[in-house]
Amino acid sequence: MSEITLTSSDNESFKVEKKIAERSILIKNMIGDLAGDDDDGFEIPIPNVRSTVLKKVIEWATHHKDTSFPDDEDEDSRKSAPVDEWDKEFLKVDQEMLYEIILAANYLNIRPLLDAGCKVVAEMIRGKSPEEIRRTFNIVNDFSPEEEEAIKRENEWAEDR
Amino acid sequence: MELRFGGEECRIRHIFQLPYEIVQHITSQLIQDDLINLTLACKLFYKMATRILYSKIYLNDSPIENSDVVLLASTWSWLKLLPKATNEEAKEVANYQLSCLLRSIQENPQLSNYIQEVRLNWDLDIETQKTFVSFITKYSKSLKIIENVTDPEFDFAIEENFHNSNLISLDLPPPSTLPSLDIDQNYLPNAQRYLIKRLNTNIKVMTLFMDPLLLFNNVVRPLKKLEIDSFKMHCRPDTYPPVIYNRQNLKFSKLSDIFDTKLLKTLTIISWYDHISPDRIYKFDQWSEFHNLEDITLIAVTYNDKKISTLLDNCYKLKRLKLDFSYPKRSMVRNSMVFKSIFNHRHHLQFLDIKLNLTTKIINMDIRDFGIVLKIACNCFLCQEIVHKKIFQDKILPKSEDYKIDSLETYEKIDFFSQLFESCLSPYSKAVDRYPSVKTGPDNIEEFLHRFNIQNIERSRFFKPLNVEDFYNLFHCLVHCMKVDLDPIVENFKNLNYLVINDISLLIKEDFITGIKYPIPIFYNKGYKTNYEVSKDNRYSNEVHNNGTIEPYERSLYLN
Amino acid sequence: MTDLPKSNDLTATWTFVEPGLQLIIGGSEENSGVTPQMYMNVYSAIYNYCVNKSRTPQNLASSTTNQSSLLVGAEIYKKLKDYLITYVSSLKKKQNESFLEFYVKRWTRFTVGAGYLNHVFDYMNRYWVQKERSDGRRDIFDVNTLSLLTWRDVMFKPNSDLLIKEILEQIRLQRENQVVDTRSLSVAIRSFVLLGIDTQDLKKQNLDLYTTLFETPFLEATKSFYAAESNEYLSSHNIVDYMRKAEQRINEEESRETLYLDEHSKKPLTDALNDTLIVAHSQTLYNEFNNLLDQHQIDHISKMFNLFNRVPSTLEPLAKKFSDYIETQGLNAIDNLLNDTQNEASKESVTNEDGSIAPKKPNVSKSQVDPKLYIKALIQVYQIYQKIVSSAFQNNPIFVKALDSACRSYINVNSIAKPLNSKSTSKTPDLLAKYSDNLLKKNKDADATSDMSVDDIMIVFKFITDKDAFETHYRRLLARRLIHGTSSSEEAEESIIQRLQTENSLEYTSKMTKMFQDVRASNELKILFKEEVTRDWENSKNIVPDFQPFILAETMWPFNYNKTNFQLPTDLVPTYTKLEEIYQSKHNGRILKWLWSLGRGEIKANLSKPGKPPFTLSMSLYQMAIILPFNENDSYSIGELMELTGLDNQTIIASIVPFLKYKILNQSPLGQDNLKNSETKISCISEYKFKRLKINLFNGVKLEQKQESDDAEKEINDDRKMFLQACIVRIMKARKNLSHTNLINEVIQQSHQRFNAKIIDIKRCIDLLIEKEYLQRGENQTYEYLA
Repeated sequence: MSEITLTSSDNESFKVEKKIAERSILIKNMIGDLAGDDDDGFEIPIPNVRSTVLKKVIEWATHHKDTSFPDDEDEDSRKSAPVDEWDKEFLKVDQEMLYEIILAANYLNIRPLLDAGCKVVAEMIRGKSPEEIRRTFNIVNDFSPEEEEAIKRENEWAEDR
Repeated sequence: MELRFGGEECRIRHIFQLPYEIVQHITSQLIQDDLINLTLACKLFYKMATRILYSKIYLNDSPIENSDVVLLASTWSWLKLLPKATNEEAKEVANYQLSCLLRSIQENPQLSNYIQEVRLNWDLDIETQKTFVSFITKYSKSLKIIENVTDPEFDFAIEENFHNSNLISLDLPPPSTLPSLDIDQNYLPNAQRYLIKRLNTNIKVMTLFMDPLLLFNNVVRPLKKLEIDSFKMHCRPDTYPPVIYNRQNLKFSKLSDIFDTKLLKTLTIISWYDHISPDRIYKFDQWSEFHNLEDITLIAVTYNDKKISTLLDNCYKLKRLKLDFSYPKRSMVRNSMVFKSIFNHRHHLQFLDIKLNLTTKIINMDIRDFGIVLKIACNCFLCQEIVHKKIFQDKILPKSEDYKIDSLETYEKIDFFSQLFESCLSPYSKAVDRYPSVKTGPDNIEEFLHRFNIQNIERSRFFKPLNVEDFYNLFHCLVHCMKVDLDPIVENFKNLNYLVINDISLLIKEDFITGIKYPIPIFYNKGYKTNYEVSKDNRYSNEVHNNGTIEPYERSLYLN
Repeated sequence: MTDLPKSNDLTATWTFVEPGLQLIIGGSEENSGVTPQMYMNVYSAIYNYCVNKSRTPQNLASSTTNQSSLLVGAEIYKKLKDYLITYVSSLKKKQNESFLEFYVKRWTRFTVGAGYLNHVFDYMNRYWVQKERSDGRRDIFDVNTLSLLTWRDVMFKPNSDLLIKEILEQIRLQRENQVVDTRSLSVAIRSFVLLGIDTQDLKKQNLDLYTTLFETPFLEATKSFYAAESNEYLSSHNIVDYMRKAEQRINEEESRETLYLDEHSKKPLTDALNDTLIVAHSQTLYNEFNNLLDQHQIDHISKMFNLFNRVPSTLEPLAKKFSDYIETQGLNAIDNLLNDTQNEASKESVTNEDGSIAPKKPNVSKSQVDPKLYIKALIQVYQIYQKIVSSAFQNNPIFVKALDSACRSYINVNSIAKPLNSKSTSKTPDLLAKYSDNLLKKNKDADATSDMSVDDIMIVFKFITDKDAFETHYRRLLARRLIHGTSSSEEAEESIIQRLQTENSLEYTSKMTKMFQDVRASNELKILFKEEVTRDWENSKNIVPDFQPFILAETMWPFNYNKTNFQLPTDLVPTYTKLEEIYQSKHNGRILKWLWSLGRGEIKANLSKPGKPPFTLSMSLYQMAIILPFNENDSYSIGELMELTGLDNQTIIASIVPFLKYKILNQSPLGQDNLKNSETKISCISEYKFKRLKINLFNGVKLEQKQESDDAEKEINDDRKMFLQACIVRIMKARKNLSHTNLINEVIQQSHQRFNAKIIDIKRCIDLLIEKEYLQRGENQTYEYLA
């Protein structure tokens, strides 16, 4: 069982099983490109991820080390697959941490984690009116009333009548 | 606030501090209703949401049914209609919505650039659809697939405009609305001209109404093998001019001469024949060379054990299967060759839609005694306390004389489940997870119950009308009682996500705590709890309140 | 950890990234030595830049810019593109290496580097490139593809001529048995395939570059190389050696194909080799073929076949030569046999009547050829070449057909059977029938038949065109065997009939089968006759009990009924009457026509010394009629005998000669001619001495034979006419209307199994039928059937 060392941006190191680390496509590609036969004790710096976030990511990858996820190509499956129960619990963190996990998943190219994180955020939009959305995310309404009307008209076909 | 790396701590407080592509990804997880709200939130969200909203459009003429437990076909957007409308009302509204859609893209051409897939509709206004098709073919850079071309007008529209588009689908329209009608004499020349223009481009999705061997031997001959990955064929008893049936100088003798066998992944065959004589059964096995098929759908075809099982046996990676046979033999039995072939695919099948002969029926008639026999094969609280006691005993069959019937008609009045099946209350979709489900029957729950109640009031004055809650309970009980038939499938098909049995759509869930898999209905779910041995929150307990003298699986009361 | 550049600064980012790229892509001389650090730094810098730039939300939303500009990548992409171009352009070949070596070395490193680059720029690939492409911009590619395209445009295309030249040169050297670096060749050639990128569909492999730039010149070079080599080789070596060399070259090239050519070239290469090595020299090889056949060199023939078999169209001419050769051999064999027979005959001499000896005339009739030798000669040739077909030609159908057609030809038309310009039908069926007769006859000499077999018969039968002639002849001889009981075994007879049936048709052997049935029926009648006679012995004292009747269906048997004035000897009349009686009682209404000329029997002659047992004389019925009167008188004149028996003079003479030979009867005056004189007296010896008690007087009758063979010939022709007419009527009845040519064709087809119908005969029959009003002529060369 080979182990990889991942070092966060604030210089904390984590030893991880290679198989788990390879949930990140970036890491997988790099090991494949650089390691050759000797892949034990590989040390990879992760300059863009803090240790708290990296720890969470590793926790996620460890839990899912044997899970099989739907194909990247299969958009329908990816979108309609509900968020895994464990992931839901796992992602019950404050908004900042959630965003950082999403960013880290994006950076490290861990698609399932990225999907899960985005879905959780999407959940925050679900069922809300435009005003409620703005309030949740602290967004300024930059439409003029005419523009708003125009959009409503444009979406008429897709809206409840 | 800037995001800096390389040693500096920073926080993301605001969603727009995330990279654009991430916010876009979040947006892409939303469904139609939420996207619409999002468009009104701010300009940036408007841009992102609109892109998703217009990417796949399904033109429906009846309301779309959503599930209360799972996101279905969530990548599609469709015309919003009132759920309670009658068929005529719905259609009128749909046409209106269609014209709104057309208006929107005409007024804002940028929108058509987002459109990647469109599915047309047989019953909506053709002129509007044609203008729509014409417009997007001309202006959309992303347009890839136009499905369900039902009229030659659409192909004309595409023909004029497709040069700049990246359209990868090719549909030949049917030669007439019904096979009994004559075909237009221009049909073949038009088809020929159209095919000549388009066959050299990159086509990946194809729909035909004619046998490809006839078409490609005698109408147009492609210069090289077609690299289709999804093929749909309608088998119809149309009568074409004799030139089609010419058997001399045939270039292609089998399907693998026309289509590249390695590339075909999806096959759909739809039959329009009411009744077929045995020698005209479609030769399903001629597709056996296409070993890479992953998705097979056979609709309204005449059942043939050997040919269909041969086809199934020859594809190694089958992931999705839908079998819907026509009269006379609608459902399969478990020891048929076809079922055995399906069973051989149990390790990789993810979607299965079939009709099975179920072992137990809840409401039966004893022919000798002319009596009603109830067989509720599930022991749980719902089935025994609620359905058996409160619904059957209290409401439907309150008196013992209700169990004796004088005619078949009376039995039919009581047989709730058969009526349910006949009424097409279950929404229909070509594939419940991939395409939106529509209401096909005229009824909704209330109307159905209303009819049922009236019939039974006529029958017995002690009958108490059922309400909506009863409906759900009965439905859930039905699913419970199917367990004995579902078990072999649920246990053995390890990768199955969706299972549709006799038009009842089920989602296979995995219990969080115990890891056991169990099916739940996708529609009419309303707080459904299973009778499988899963964690407490998800199931009904199996305690039964009885006096111990009655057999657990069968309740029948005879007139003494 | 090194500080990453500011993420909004393109230049800084690029400056930071570039040294890393150098290492990754292989710009520096050392072995890549890319560390995880470096890798992550480059990746992160790119990531940061892309991510940062894409985050300016509110102000950009107001502009109407295309959304893809919200995703950043264009500038980085451009920088990368330029970098790649610069890099590839900078690659220069060293002095001491060939272009090919340089190319392969650099290409190998480059493709690896491109892979790394692709991963390092993954973020840009994932988002920006994908978006651009799905928005329709087909000139934006993922980094790996971009790298390959750059290589293609900057390094490959400008230098393709040189590269190809060197590659072909290497291949040429290898063909001349020099050691070359096949691995390099393989890599270089493979690069053609990998560089054939289809910008419309990146997933598809595109062989255009490979086929146009490499395959075509390669095939040209191959062709010219082998054309030159084969010509030169042939001028200094013999054919057999050439064939070996060709085989060797082909094997070499084909193994080379798997080593470094693409699958696509397999067929064109094979075709090129076949053309230059085989087809181009086919004539030379054909010319040698006959020699090989003469020398019976099966291995060499096999080699030649294997070569030609690669190009099936070349087999035809070879088969034709083969066929011609066999035919010549067959004809020669028969010619030799004919010569031998004539030589033998000329050595024989004939004793004339007057006792003088004279040599036989050289132009002896062909029918003197020994059937067995003839058939054997035919078969022998067939068997030799059959063996060659199966061993050297692996039973290839073309050659089987060639053998068959050659055999068909010489077996039917050769100097014995049917000399050229002769109008008569082939004698082979006749000779074959005689051969069969020899095989099936009872033979004292077992050795004579030990090397004859039914298989031989069937082989020749297969090739005979005039099968109906054979049937007639065979049936004639069969009739004789059946009547005279000379058949050696019934099983043998039946087995041949079986085989003829299988080979041809039931209809073909129907007459023969009927003949057997007649014989069986006759045997039953014989038993019945004997029973009747023994039962009624009182009234049957004059009847010969051991009477073997042969009731023959007139149409089935080849005997002609000629009404004669023959008087049945009175001694035999009761037997005759009795048979008529019995037969009529069984088959009322049928008429029996007695063939007196075929009758035979045995007579006990009490001509021996008293005390010695009587002689048993076997003779024909006619002979009986002649000898029996001598029970009354000792002497008769020829004229009296003629009256008594009712036979004509010729018949009397033919029948009486054996008696004279055996000196049972004496003639006065002597002399062959005096027998014609009705005054000549014949007397019977009173006491006869002979070493044997049993004497066969029957065999001396020769007259029948010649007549029979003439009859046979006539019978065949008549049969054919009837058959053709029946055939035409049958066809016209079904078709009602038919054109002339179609009718002729149909008739030929239907008669093919029996004989080769000549068109002129068919025409004659058509005319006959028109006369008989079965048909009439329609318009435009058609005929109509008249009901």
